[in-house]
Amino acid sequence: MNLLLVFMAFAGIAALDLPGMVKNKRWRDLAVYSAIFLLVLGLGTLMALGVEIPSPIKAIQAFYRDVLHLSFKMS
Amino acid sequence: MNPEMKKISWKELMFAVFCFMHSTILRSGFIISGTRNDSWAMAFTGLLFTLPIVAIYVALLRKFPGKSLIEIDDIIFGPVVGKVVSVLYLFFFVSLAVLNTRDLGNFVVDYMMPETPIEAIILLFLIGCVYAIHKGIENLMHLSTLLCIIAVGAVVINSILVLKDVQPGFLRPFFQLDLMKYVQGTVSVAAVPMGEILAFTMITPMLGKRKKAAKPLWLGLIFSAVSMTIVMLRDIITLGPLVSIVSLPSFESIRYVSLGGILTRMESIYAVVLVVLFLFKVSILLYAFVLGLTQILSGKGRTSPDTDNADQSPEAESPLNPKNHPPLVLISAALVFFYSIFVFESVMENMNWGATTAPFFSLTFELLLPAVSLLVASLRKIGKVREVKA
Repeated sequence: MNLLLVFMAFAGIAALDLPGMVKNKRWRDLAVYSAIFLLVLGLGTLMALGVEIPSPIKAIQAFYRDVLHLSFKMS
Repeated sequence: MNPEMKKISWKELMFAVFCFMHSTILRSGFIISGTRNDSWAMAFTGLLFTLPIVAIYVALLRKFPGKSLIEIDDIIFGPVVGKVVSVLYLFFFVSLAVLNTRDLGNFVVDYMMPETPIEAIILLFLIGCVYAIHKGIENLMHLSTLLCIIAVGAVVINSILVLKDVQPGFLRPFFQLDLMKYVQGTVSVAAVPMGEILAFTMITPMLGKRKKAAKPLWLGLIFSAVSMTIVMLRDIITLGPLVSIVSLPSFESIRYVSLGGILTRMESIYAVVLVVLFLFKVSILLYAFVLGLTQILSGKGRTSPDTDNADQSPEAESPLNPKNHPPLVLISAALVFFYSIFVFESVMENMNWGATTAPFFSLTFELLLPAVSLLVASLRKIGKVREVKA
């Protein structure tokens, strides 16, 4: 169900964004757009399938705390 | 987006800076939990800490009038290193958009609609942000004046109505905490609400080359510091020792408002104002991200109203005009949606990030990178001086 919703949402986004680029033959823009589109679609698909995606913020927190030793103590 | 309306006035930018920061000021729990009844002073010390940071932004904008942060990076560091630095800034903007979106979701679920899935709230909220950007960021900037009046009006009215329940004695004892607590409070205030005005360096080109960005940034910052002091003082003298326990002191203090048992539940006004200010802030951050991404990918700089090749006709190039650039607003909003869903697993993780690491993470982008940029620009003697000679 979640996967279907994700595909429907991305189909809607593509329907809104693509016609202008295709009509005006802006192939470079289309290539750039497609790359980003597929990346975000991949992320959405993984989430819809229940795959646990590690949060970049947690990695950053660990890097600042454990490597740079830049972290306040929790009050 | 309407390509004809690209200019904004310095007053609109000043109000926008105020509204941008006010959404965080109304969620002052992360500061008050540390510095308790002395938190009001953190607004001033935070402002003092932020002044040199904003001075760096102003110096960069003066050296490169009419240029956005991403364009400035390209000029200072060259096309390759400049892009790398710009990508770091974009990561910062999108992370801020995600964190604020998540905060909005948590707020609505915790205080307004506990049965509603956070995904639905975030989705609706982001649709609002996309709509605001689609209608033109300049229109959102025009709207900032009205938003500012509503936000200030809500604070003033709520503060007056809560006056009968306040106890000024709750402010005592003054400055008895460990020095490190004040350092933490000062850095948190400087990095989290105040330093985030870095995002406006993507919008200042809309002022045009001839108008200076310094005045609206300084004034917006100072007014926000004053507002922050008033809000924190009100919360401290209303809630007393409770202020450091609750996660949203402003929300809890406004709950005290009751005029003859008729005028109650004023916190709903606070909630509406907070959601609107969140929408304003995330729209600015999302716009900064999309504009930066567009500039990096298309390799074209944004045409500001006063640049030499500026076309004042209705067909003039709009910063995010889909006729000139890949349309990235919707797909960027989709990225923010997914990222905000998995960014934190619980509210505690979110609070831990805000209290411990967020100030250092933010200062990396708000202080370190701009300072390095300014230093390199000065050493390489690039910027306005060379432009004038040329």
